[in-house]
Amino acid sequence: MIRFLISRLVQFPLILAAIYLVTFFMAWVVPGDPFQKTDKNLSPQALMQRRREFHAENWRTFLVYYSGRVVRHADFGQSMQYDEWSVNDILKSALPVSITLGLFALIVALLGGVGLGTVAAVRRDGLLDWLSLSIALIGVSLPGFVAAAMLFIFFTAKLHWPPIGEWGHLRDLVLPGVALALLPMAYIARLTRVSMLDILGNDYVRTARAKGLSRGVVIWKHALRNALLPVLSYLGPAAAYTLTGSFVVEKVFNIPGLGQHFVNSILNRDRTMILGTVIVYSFFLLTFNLLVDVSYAFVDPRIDVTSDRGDA
Amino acid sequence: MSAAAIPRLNAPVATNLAAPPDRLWRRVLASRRATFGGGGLLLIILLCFGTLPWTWEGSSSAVQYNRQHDQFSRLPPSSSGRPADIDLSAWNERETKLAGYEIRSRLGHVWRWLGTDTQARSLLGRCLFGGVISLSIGFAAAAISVTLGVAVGLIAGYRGGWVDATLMRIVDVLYGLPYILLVILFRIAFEGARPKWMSMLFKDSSMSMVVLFLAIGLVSWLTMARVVRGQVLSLRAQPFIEAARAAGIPERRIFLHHLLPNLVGPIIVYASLTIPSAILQESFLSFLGVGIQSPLPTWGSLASDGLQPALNTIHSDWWLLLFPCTLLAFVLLCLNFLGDGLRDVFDPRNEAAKI
Amino acid sequence: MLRLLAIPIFLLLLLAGAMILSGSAVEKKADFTYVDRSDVSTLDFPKLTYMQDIRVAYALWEGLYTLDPVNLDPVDGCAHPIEVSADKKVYTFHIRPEAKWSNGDPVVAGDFVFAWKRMLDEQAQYAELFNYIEGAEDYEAAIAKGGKPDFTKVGIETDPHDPLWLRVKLRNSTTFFPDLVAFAPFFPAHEKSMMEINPDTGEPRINPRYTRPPNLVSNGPYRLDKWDFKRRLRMVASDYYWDKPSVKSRVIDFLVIENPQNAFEAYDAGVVDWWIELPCDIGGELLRKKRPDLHIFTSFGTYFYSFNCRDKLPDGTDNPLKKIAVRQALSMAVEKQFLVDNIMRMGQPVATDYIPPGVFSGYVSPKGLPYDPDRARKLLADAGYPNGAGLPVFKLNFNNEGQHKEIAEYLQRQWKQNLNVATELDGKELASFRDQLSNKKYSISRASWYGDYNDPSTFTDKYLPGSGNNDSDWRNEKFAALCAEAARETDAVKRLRLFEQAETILLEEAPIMPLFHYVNSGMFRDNVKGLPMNPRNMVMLKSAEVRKK
Repeated sequence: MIRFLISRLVQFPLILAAIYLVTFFMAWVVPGDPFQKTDKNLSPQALMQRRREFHAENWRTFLVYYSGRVVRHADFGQSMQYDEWSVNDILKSALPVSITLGLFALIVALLGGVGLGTVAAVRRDGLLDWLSLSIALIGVSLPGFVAAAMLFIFFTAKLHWPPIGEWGHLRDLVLPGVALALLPMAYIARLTRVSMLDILGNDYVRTARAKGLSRGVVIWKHALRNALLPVLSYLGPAAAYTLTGSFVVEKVFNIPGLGQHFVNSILNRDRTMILGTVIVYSFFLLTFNLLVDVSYAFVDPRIDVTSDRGDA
Repeated sequence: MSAAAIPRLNAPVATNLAAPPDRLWRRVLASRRATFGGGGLLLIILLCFGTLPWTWEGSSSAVQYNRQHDQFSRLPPSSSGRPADIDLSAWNERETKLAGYEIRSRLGHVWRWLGTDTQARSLLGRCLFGGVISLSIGFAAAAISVTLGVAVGLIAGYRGGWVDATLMRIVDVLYGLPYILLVILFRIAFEGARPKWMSMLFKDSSMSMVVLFLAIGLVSWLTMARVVRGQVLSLRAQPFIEAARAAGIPERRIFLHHLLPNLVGPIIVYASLTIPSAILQESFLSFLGVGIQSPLPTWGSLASDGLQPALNTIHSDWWLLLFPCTLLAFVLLCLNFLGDGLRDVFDPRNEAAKI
Repeated sequence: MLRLLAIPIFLLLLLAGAMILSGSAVEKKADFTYVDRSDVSTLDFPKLTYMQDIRVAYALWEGLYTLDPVNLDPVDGCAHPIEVSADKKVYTFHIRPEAKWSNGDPVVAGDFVFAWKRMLDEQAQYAELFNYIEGAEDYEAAIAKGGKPDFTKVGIETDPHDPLWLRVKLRNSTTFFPDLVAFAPFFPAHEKSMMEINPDTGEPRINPRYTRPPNLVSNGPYRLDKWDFKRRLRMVASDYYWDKPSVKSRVIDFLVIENPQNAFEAYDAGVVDWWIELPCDIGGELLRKKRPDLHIFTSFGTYFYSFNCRDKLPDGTDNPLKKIAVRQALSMAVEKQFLVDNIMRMGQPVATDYIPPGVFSGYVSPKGLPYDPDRARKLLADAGYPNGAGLPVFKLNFNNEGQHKEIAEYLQRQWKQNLNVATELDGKELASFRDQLSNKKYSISRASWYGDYNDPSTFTDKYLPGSGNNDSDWRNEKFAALCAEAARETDAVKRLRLFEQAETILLEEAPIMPLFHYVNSGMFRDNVKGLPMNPRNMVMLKSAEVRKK
């Protein structure tokens, strides 16, 4: 276990560095100029000067300067699009918002998904199964921007709940949280249902039932824990995705989170910002995957995490 | 939509499957979900591709996807060709025009069934033609992602050693990149620097489609690669492979005759789940303004174009969103059902999961 | 089993922690709240170009002249009196002793010299507005070449004994110079609060965050109290502004709501008092509903398509668009009313001219090319392309945002239908689109132009042969000569006639195809006062207020 942890921790920065390099080159080769921001053209000299300010005359200077900064000070530099703000400033302002919303969504997705999935599995073939499955499938069958916009129109615009205003109230979390939770909830429900069915057919469950234990106790005590293992491994990427914000949900509900910057930084060719957002996302993903692996041991000590989980 | 669009399923997929084809078929047909999904999908495919002679570029029909019907933008859906049922009291001039508007087509007033869009084009025609493109992109992207994923997974799993390590670290790195970044960058980069061979192979107008499904296909093979590798690893450890090795059967033969057939199940299941996610990804790209090149429609681009006029609290042109979205959701539902059903079919252990 | 519950509980605890970190405490509603189309992109003068930035800049700073809140004529700002020589070439400013920065420091001539020099040194977008000052153009040219020219050769003088005295010498008598001086690029800057030591080199430099509170020191009616990125700007009346009685609202909030439907709901719920620049979907429907609080008025901008006039197309083939007749034919084959009625929908006037009519009083717009498909076909045939034969498939360059896509699709159909000219759409996202347009890697492209200051040259300068904004690369000596003559002309009426002739040439040669003129739009209720409606959509926020009913 210790050896496994150490090898993962050694790989961690290496993979992060590789991701940084790949992102850097992709961001560099894409056509379009980050400094040409309006329909009014900057003179070539002015453009050159702006590039110099950002050490972006050519890819070498840019790479050397910024990777040095990132390693030494964890500083991603100024944003090329938002002149007054450094990438760190933006992360500091946007990330907590996204994390709050993402955590809320994650809890909704987890409780809702496991609930729906369990109900579906226990009442197999019944109305509840089809109903919960349909709810789950709507989550994956509608484009996110349509689902979120419909939620906004029906609740906020028509019913005036929650009342519109500045971001900061607890109630502001609910609608965007649900919108953000739809997709992971659908997957969790399906995962739970499949593995639950698998487990309910197992001998030890039948034995427990035969022992005279009530249905609820069997499901709660014996089945659910094992059925949740696949959900746990999905939680890693799901957490990274929800916690770093979603472009669609933030756009529809006007939330000052990080998700919009993933897309906008690319569309604006804001190269420093692209690197910043990608590294944050990758850091989250790698961390959560590591946490998931470790928590496997915690939830079910029988599992040998050190074997490479090929099918994960 | 994101990295989360394809879950890292610990799929309870078959590891030892050699059912004869006819029994498989029977099981597919017996699975209610698979038949429902497959049937629905087939229906939509027939509908969209069957109407191509009327909706495609060269047609002169009223439902041609890019044909403008005079000034009749934003007409609500109607089955009647008569103008009397149209509430155009605000624009009398338009009403008179519509009365005199004759469409020289055997299809009569079919073009108005789903209403018209903001540029007076038949929404029916656009939805049907959009379906052709959406489905093509979905299938093509899935094909690319499956081919790539299976190839990488097979090689990594079968060769093992440093090949496996290298390939899997590459997958790890790509996995760590936000999906949105990859696909947009691919999309923009292809668009900006179209390789020569691509321009030679494809006409300019179909180019944007090629770029789109390449971009989507090239980013969604990672899960497939992991799944296949895992399967190969566990297969390799199975007694029957070891026995084959011990019996001196050549590697290639083991590979083709013993390994591949056992992988077909998981591959089909994952492929059927990759198609809906590719179609969804296309819709998201349309929403971002980097989707298909207009005037070509896709369900995703129709939905994202219809979003503002339809979800508008002042006045809603609801049909612009409802119809493309319904089609999109229906097809995705079918594909998901099909995928789930197939999974049940290919997983003999899991009798219980069959509905 | 309890171990399983640990995960949601752990997540809940994290949630509580994150809530505390992310919450911007909700504050009391400001006296006046408005929503612009997007967040302020920068407040650093040399980079200022967006309207939402300039509107905020007018609330925070004040030039030597300022704009009258009602009719937007230039009036004495933080200088009074201002002496103008008889030939209108020398302006002598006496800065008001009561003019103060928001930290209490007096405003002095050096603050202007510092700011103006910075505009030239950094080759700002608006640096060319300084060209009317003696020696400024040479200075800029030398800077562009990488030199270190002598700033004292520029016609800006100070008096070492009188820090409040500033004199500006112009090259020619420039009738609209007071307008320029009132404009944002001519604002002063507070050097002391802007400088910091560069941690990399140890040299002093301008702090990149100097515009962010609490760093920002400004001399206008407001000071910047808060700037929450992508959330809100809060401006509070400055304690040191010299003309405090003219400041109507004490606290002004600029909320960032980038999604139009949200902005509309916020306005309708009364959270927002003024919403600027409505998108077509919502604006068009509100217009049809005849909402009394919707205000639509003439704008200072034109939407058009630009033809590449170079000898070769980007792919190296001969460019048929070089021929005037081809450009004219394309321009005359588009029926523009459909665009305005069905796509733009906010009452935008159809355009055959480049300079929006009615924005310069006394200016008579030339007719331009009408919609005439028959003549267009004939022109095309005469140019050697009967029924479109022989023309390459032109690519239409545009960006996919907003209505641009629909307009391009419509043009494609029109040209096919009226001229049998095939085109292909090449929609992109904004950055790629700009890249193609400004580097002239296109055949036909969507374009638009907004004027900056109150003189027709703000439009015509774009098509001068040497202009960096001449995206068509169209060169016409007669046009250039007329513009040059207008720049020298001192008689205001004669100048307008010269510009009219110049525009006539531009429209006749058709390097551009005007489609429609923009309109300005805004929503505010009856009890909101002090928002004048002018083409530039410029507002002195100090006069804006919500009257209690």
